[in-house]
Amino acid sequence: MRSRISDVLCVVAAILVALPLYWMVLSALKPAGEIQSADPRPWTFAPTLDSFRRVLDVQGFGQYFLNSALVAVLVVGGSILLSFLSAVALTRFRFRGRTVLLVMLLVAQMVPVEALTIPLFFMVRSVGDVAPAFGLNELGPLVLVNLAFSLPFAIWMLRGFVAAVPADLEEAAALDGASRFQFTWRVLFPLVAPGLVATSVLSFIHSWNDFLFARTLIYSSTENRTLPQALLVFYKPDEQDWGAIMAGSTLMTIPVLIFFVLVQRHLVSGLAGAVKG
Amino acid sequence: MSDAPSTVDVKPRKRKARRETTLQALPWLAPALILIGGVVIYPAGYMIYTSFRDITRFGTDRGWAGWTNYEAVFNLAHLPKVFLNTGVWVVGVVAVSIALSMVLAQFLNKRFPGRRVVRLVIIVPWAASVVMTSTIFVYGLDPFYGIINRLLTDVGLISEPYGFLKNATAGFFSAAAVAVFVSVPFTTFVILSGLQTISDDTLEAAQIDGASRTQTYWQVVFPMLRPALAVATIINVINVFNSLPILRTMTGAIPGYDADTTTTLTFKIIQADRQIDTASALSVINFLVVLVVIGVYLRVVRPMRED
Repeated sequence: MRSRISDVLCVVAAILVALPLYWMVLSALKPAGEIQSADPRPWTFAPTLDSFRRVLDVQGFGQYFLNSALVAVLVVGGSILLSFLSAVALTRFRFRGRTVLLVMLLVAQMVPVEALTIPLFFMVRSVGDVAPAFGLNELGPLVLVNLAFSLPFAIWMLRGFVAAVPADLEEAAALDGASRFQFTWRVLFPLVAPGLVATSVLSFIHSWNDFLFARTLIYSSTENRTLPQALLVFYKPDEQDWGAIMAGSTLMTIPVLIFFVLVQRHLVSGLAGAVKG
Repeated sequence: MSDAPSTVDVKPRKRKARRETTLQALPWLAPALILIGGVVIYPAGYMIYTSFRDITRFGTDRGWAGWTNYEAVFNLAHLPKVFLNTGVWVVGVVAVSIALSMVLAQFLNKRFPGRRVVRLVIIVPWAASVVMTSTIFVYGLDPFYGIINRLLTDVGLISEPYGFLKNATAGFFSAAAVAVFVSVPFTTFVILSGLQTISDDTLEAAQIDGASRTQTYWQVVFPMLRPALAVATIINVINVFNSLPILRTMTGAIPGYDADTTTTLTFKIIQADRQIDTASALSVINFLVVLVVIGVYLRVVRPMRED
């Protein structure tokens, strides 16, 4: 009986969580007259794609979408590779300062990000003098910055996975004549794949939704903007275009959801790596 | 005493072996460390440096400032209120998120038809951008056309639409609710992954021993969730502490500082007052507070085994 009640409560909670999503999609589909009606209704009888059309008509929307996708893909790829290498080093090698390094990674995670935007701006500006592809208004630094900020937690998470692979396996592989390199890529890498999935989810969300760095580092270029910035046109101080904002948010959330659907099976076991400590 | 010669013998060898493994480990770690060093640690060092400089509104460095920026921070009239807000914000949002997530995770750990769909629905607030989620709530809370206001009046909880984002206190707590909303998915999934490490045998054994459901949960399941709860707490404390977009989107337009945390205050000092040096000092303080909070937490709760 008790568990019945808690089940009902949980279904209610799930519905509550789903409501804003429903409201977002619904508002994106409502015709102009209903969006700011004084009598808001939780349904519409005249769905229209007008709001979506306004979003897609934004100058360069396709380009911004591609920019966001490119940054996200590079960040995900980079974080999988680099966090895997680091996690292997931190679990398979016993060296001085290992614990200190782990603590430092956690500390790096705590740095207040918005305070770093100013030094980062100046840094990227001077880097741009030497390497134009990594200067201001370019996508290069955006990839590196998002990658660096998603690495500490990714490494922490993967560590548990690599540690869970028994050392015997490595010895057995060595007896069979496999080099360390072969063992790492042929045996270890596939074994920690679920952990890599969870890592990739986190870094994907991180870079796809990033607003702060994109706005700081790509401040004047129009062609290298990313999606969150593109949607800013609909925010006006006094009169916001709610329909377009909701349609834009819907369009932006869809790729992340697709990503989640693809990896959902591995997500829970993937996070377990972080939990095992 | 007879051991003495052998220890002398072993130590240098050990040290040499260690140095070798350090050298071996370096190429594996180097790319990540260089990146984190350049993009996180170096600017963070620069932030600390800036907090001791006298910098004009136009970015000119007028030299060493000693502790004057820190004094300026502690002389802010609204600082006590902002600190109090920060405490309420962090403790409240993290505690409520974790409590809700524990219940949700317990539910999602059971097998039932449609579990995949429900899990996916729970993920949505995590997938959506925080700026956008906050915007959706701004729209929903609008006194004239917001659905949340409409819902609350229809149910009879309030007699007429209320401007939740028009005053600091209501705005602050509305923003806290949104912060819980966006923290719950990740927290739930971390706890869910913790629940999956508990085998059915363990639970069966507890049942055979005659433990009730409540007893099983608090005496068997809960202790085994400790590492998961620790990860959830640490990551949430860091994220909630440093969270800017929710309060900025929802209460940023309210004049004064009654709805500010140290993070949003830092942002206001940068944006509105253009005092980069004072903002840096506040950021350093902010960082130290998080560091101490996490440090104390790790010491007291000891969530991770030393390996």
